[in-house]
Amino acid sequence: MKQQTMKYLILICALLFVFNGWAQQKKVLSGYIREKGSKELLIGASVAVPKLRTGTVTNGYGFYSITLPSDTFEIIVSYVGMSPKAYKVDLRNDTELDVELTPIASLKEVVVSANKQNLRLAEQTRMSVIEIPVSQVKDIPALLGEKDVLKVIQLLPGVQKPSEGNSGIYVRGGGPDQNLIILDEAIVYNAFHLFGFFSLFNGDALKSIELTKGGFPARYGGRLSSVIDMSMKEGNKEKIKGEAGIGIIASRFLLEGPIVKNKASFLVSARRTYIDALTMPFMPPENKVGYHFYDLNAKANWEIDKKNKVYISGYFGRDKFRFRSQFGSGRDEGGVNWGNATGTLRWNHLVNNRLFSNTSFIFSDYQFSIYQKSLFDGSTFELNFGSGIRDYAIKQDFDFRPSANHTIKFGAHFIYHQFTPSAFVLKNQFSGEDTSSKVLLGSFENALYAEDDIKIGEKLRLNPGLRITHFTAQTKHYFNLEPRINSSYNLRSDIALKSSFAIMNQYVHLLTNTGLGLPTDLWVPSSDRLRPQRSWQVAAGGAKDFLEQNFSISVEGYYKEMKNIIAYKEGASFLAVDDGSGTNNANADPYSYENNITSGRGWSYGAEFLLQRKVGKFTGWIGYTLSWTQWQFDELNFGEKFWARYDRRHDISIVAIYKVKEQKDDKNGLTLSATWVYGTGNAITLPVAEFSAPIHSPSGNPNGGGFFSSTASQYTSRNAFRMAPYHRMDFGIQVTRKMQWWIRTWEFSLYNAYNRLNPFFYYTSTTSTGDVVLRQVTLFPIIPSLSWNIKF
Amino acid sequence: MMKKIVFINIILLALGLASCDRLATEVEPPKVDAQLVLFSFLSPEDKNIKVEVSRSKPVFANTNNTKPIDLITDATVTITNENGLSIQLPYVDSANSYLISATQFAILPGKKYTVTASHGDKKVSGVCTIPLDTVSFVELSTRKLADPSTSSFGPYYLHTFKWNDPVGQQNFYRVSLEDFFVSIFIDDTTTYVQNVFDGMYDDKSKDGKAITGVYSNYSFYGFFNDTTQKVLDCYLLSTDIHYFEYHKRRLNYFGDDPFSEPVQQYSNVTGGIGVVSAFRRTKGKLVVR
Repeated sequence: MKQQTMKYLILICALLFVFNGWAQQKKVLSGYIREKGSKELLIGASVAVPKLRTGTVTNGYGFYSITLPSDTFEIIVSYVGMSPKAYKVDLRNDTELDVELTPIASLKEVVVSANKQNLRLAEQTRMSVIEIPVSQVKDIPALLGEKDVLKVIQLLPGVQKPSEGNSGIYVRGGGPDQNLIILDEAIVYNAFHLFGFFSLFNGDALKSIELTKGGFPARYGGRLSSVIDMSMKEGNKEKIKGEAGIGIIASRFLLEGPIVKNKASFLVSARRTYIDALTMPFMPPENKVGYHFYDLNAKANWEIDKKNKVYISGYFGRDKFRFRSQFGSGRDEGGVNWGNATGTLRWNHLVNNRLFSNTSFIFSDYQFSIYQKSLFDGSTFELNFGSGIRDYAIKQDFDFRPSANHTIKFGAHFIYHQFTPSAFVLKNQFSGEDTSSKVLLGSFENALYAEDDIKIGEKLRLNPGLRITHFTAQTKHYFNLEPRINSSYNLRSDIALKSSFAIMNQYVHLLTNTGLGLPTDLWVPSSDRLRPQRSWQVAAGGAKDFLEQNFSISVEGYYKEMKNIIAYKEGASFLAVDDGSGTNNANADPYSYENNITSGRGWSYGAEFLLQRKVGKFTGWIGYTLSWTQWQFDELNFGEKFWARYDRRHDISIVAIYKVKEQKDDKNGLTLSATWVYGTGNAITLPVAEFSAPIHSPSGNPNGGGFFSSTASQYTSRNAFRMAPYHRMDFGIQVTRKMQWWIRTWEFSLYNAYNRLNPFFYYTSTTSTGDVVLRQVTLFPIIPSLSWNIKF
Repeated sequence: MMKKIVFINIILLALGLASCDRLATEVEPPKVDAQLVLFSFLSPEDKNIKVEVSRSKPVFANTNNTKPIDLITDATVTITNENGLSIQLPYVDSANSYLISATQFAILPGKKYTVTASHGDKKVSGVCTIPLDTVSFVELSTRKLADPSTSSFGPYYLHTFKWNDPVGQQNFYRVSLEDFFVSIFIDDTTTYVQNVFDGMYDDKSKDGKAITGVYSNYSFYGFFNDTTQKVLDCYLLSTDIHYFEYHKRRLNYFGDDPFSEPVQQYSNVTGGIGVVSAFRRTKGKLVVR
């Protein structure tokens, strides 16, 4: 395998050399594209060369490079929501051209045609990718007014939500652990607050959000089903700016500005809930219960010189649930804490005007802990249990643009995962016990990758790639090759047929059976026994742009097979906490959790339709998904296939945002928004009967051939019962006005406007007449909310 | 401003949640009829042939005046061997089952038996084949791993069970560790059985090889004086696939709770639910010092 790896490296180097020699005959136009005013680097901005009917886009750091024949060209630079700029470039020598684009006050209906370059789905090689404008996230009505990136992603075709109000993500039949959620290059392991009702991504601090459901480029890996790649804003380089908001459950603020004007900037944003502060005064002093969460995002960047930039960014968030009760001379207190911390240090280096390098040092940490402390008659009892995962990673990525027809990305990723399946401390002064134990598991996950976005003639584009992955697990080393390819063929300039194929491997697994983002969910590594999850996915479809009307349509069909996916065995409890009793002796098995899980296979296939309009007074999208997802585990459902819990035959989302009046100067702004969603009910297992199910006594006692008398439940076959379908409509109204010092926005939103009683879970209940009935619990009826936001 | 927003929001939230009493609504459940339930575990090593017949209780029904287990005492229950010889089993109140002595009807290794129960217009039956051979332990041992003074949980024991799998056939096993005690809380005389450990094994990828099972625990002996010598009965059952599949699930079922994965019970009974299965038994002694 080592020899094979070396061969690939030599091949990549040879390709670079060939391209380099060939490119000597041409001239290079390169530079950065920024937003005027804030100097924020723009990701995916378009640089078009109409004369040659070619162009390129900026990378994740706002850098572009295009190699052209030595000549004079008109260059048009554009980005969604910004006024395009045209330049005449005399390309007799390699030329650097940094561009600043001015935001358009309004996303007007009439935009020059060049600006539509960014809107063209038919021009993109990749498929199954959806970019979500951050501005739209802020306009879409939300539960309790809390804008939530993951809930907006749930509104896209191919993405299923688990249940009412929950931020969990299920993409094309994949589980909640199969999504690679990246914030500024750092993996986020538990993306949820408040048991899944809110995600931890504060939309104020985000610059870009991109969802990939299939046709994964080789630079991404480690998860089977999706990549959600988010970048934080860098911070305004020219002047101090800020935002603040007060909502029904939380308040937040953001501050950004220059450290050294046009050289270095910072951004800080924070959010905290105050349910605990509001309810605490109403509780009796001897019994207090509280819950809150907070987020803190921070970023700073420094442009050392034209060729070097350094970014440091981080996220820190915690959920804290606690209780305290007092009785006589004693006191009981306890709580559950969980949260993520990420940190990224990046160095952008322009090796030359065609080769861009980014080096990242990444730290990511997720910790969960539960504790109890009792004090009575001067003695204490203390119990602490914790689990978690911590990553230390180095990524080296290169972006090489040898010609107008090639955009090559290659690099290497090294991650050291440190898993803590359980950490346990017990101090009991009543009995004199003093015990502690900690199980730590370490694994390396490494990858090499290379991909090339190739234009072949006017009509055909290919993006082939290869990722070579390696994972250390106990005594085994797993090596896997992951070939990827995307293709796009333009029937006309506005119509493209697309296809993709991708193989993915996943070496870390989440033990969960709810997908609710419970803090007890546990990340564990692949091991000798627990093999890596693996999938292959093929997709085909088409995209059509309606440039005059500013919208695009895409239709995709996909088929995905997954193997070695995991599930809890029958009877396993997901709330069981290991008390550590088996861990402080030489024979304790740190992989004992494997006894509770089983591996199986999955199949998901379906079709997705998306009509999207990103520009204009009236924006939004209509998404529809028709899908089937089945699982098969030898140890579940007697080995028969069954529907996945979140198998969803039909899923519809309609999102509409209408800017009635744009806020400008002293004029008020008014934005109306609405969403409607529909989804087939979740597939669940219900008990249907109870019966005598004795356990045989091997000793034959009592009574000879003895039975231990007991009863058991008879269930429907696994997930054979469908909950009621889910549907809901939300409305939002935003009124914006310029005040003396700031721009103020009042937002009124109505969640579940027609008060649909959607199912959250089902339970059995006995009526006063003795009838056992099935009841459905609804979490949220119609919920109005009001929030107040300012921007300065 | 902050006060104002919070105040308005509390009012809005209160209005929204005013309809909370409507949040639990009744929905149409899946409907099933009551079924006949048949259980029998046959072995040449048992003194009796015992069959339990009961009726399942649909969950979504009226629960007034129903017993926890709806035993049927007036069914017609027969056992038939592969030569067509059959015998009817009478209901024995003290056993809550249909019961005959093994001397009345031979249960022989390698033979197939059919157990049938009829009640009203319902008829259920199950078929099993008695495993040919018994299998015995080749090693039974206990090791004390942790000293009680270093652990808050008492001494820590590792029990090892080892036997040789007969080659060339699919085999299933149950290892069971049972203890007997007399409860001073009840009548101080009756002996009760306590199941200490159960393990289900098969010979998948171990055909003809030695199979080893281990069981470790802290607390069970921690309550005894460490100098006490304790002898436990240890059973090795060589079972048919029905016994294995049923008990593998049944032993892992501790009742329904919303935080555990549901366990679907195994059945090989046609016309209803339950298990008719077979096993061979050997016994060993495990000495704990």
